[in-house]
Amino acid sequence: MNLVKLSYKNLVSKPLNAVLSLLLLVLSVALVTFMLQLSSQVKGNLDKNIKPVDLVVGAKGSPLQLVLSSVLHIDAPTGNIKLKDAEKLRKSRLVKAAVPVSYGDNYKGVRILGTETNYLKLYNAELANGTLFSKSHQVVLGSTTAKKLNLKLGDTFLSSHGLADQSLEEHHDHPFKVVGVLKQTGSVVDNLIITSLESIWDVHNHSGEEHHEEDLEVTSLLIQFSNPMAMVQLPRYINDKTNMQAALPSLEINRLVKLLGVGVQTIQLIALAILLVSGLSIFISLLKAIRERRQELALLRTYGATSGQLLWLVLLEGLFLGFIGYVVGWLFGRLGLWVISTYAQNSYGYTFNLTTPTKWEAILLFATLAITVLASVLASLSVFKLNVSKILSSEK
Amino acid sequence: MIKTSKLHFSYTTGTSFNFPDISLAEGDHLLLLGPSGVGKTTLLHLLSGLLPITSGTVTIGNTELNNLSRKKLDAFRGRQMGIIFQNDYFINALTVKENLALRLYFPDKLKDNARIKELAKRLGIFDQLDKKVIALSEGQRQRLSIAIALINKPNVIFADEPTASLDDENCEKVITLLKEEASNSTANLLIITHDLRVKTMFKNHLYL
Repeated sequence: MNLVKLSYKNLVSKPLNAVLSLLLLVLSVALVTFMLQLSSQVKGNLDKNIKPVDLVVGAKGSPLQLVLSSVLHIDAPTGNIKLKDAEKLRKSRLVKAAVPVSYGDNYKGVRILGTETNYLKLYNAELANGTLFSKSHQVVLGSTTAKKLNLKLGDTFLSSHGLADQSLEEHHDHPFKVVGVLKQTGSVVDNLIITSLESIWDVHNHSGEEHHEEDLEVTSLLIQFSNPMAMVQLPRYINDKTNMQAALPSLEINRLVKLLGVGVQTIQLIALAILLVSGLSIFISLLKAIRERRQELALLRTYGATSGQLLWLVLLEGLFLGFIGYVVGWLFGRLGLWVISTYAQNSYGYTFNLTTPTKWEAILLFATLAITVLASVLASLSVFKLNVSKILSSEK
Repeated sequence: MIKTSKLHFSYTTGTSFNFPDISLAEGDHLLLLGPSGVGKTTLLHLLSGLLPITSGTVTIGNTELNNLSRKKLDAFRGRQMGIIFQNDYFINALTVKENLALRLYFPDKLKDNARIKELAKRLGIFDQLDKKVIALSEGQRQRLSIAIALINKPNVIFADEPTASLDDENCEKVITLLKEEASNSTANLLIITHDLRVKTMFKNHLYL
C-alpha cells in the first residue's frame, strides 16, 4: 500500500464523480488537438499541392475558384481559354515551364484531367506500372484512383459528362483505356485520371470533324516562373492585356487559410476557455472529495501521515484526473480527425495523418497537468488546517 | 510509560479542563471512567498529541510531546501509539486488508502480510480481509479498528469505548485480546469506558 495506490483507489471508488469532473477536460483537449491537427494538416496539404505551380492562367472569374479548380481539383472551372492564347504565354521568357490542363468529364466522380505528360513532372509522379499515354483515349491512374475504382492495366471505361458523378450522359462511343498506374505521391495526382488533351477534345467533338487549331480550348495553363521578376510582371500583363486572368496559388490559398484561420482561432479560444473551466471543475470536485473524506484524512494523520503526505494524496488524484482527461480527450480528437479524414477521402480525396503528434500537443499536455496541479494544490490547502481532534470526536 | 503533570486544556469556546496527574510504568493498564462531558476524550486526544496542550506536560516513554514539532509528533504517534476511536473510521475505498496495510505504511512504509493475516485470524476477521469495509457488520468494524490499532505493535494503546457495540462474548474476547497484545509488547493500555462489563476486568481505575 502506498500513496499512489491509495489515491488511485480513492479515485475509482467514485467513478461517476471522476467522469463528471473529467467531461470538460476531455471536451477541451479533444477540441484543441483536433483543431491543431486539422489546421496544420490542411495547411501542409494545401502547401504541398500548390507548391509546384507558381501561376494559373484561366478564364476570367474568381481567382480563388481558378486555383481551387485547376490546382487542387475541388471546384468547378471558371471557363475555358483558347489554346492559342495559352501557347503565346508559353513562349514568354518569364516562363520556365507551362502545362495546359483541360477538364470535361469524370468517371464515377473522379475527374479526368486532360494535360501533357510533363504535368506529372510537376508533382514528381512516376509510373508504378504500364506506360504513359501516347494516343487519344489512353489514361494513367493516380494510385488512390486505381484502388478506389478497382481498375487495372488494360481495363476500359466510359466517361460521363461534367465533373460530378450525377451526370447521366455517358459518352458511349469513346471508351478510355488504362495504360498506366502511378506511384503514390501524396498529392492531388493520386486522385485523378490523367489523359492527353486530345482525348478531351475528341470526346466532345461530336461532329467527328478534324480539330480546327483556331477553336481548340483548354481550361487553364499552369505556369512555373523562370525568375522572381515574373511574379510581378506576368500576372499584371495577363490581367491587363488579355481576356484571361492570372491567379497566384500561394496568395489565394494564403487568403483562404487566413479566412479559415479566424474560425480555427475562435474554436481554439473557446477550447482554451473550456480548459480553464475544466480546471475549475477539477478544483471543485477535489474540494468536494476532500470534504467528503475529511474523516479519512484526519484518520491518516493519526496513523502518522504528515500534512505534506495528505497534500500529495490529493495532488496525485488530481494528476490522475488530468492525465486520464488528456489521454481520453486526445483519443476523441483523433477519432474526430479520423471521421473527417474518411469524409474528406470520399469527397475530396484528401486524407489526414492520424499519428503525427505536434509539439503543441505536448505543450497542451503540460498545460493540462499544470492546471490540474494548480487546482489540486488550491483544493488541498485545507488539509493543513485539518482539526483532527474535532473531526474524529464529532458524531458521524 | 505515560506521565502527565498539571495537564490543562481550554477550548476556544471557554470550556476548560484540569486533569489529575497520571503516572503509568511500562506495561501498566488503566481504565478511565467518568460521566459524559468531563473530558475523557479530550484527555485521550491530549495524550496522543491530537490536541495541542494548553499547559502542563505529557511524556510518553522518554519523549515529552510538548517539545516535538508537528511533523515529528505525527511520526511519533504513528510509531508509538495505536488509537481506537469512539466512532470507527476507515478508508472506505479500500478493503479490510488494504486498510491494515495502509496503517503499516505510515509512518515508516512497513510491509507485513504475515502480521495482517495473523491478527485478522485472532480477531475473527480473516474471512473479511478482501471485502470492502462498507460490507462489514458493526461488530466486524469494531474488531477491524482494534486490529488497525494493534498492527504496528505500539508502545501505547488508547481505546475510546472499544466495547460499546459488542455483545458479552465479543466484549470479553476483545478486552482479553487488548490486554494480551498490550502485555506481549509491554505496552501501556489506556481505555475510556462506561461499560460495566469492562470495569471488572481491570484493577487500575481513574475517575475523572
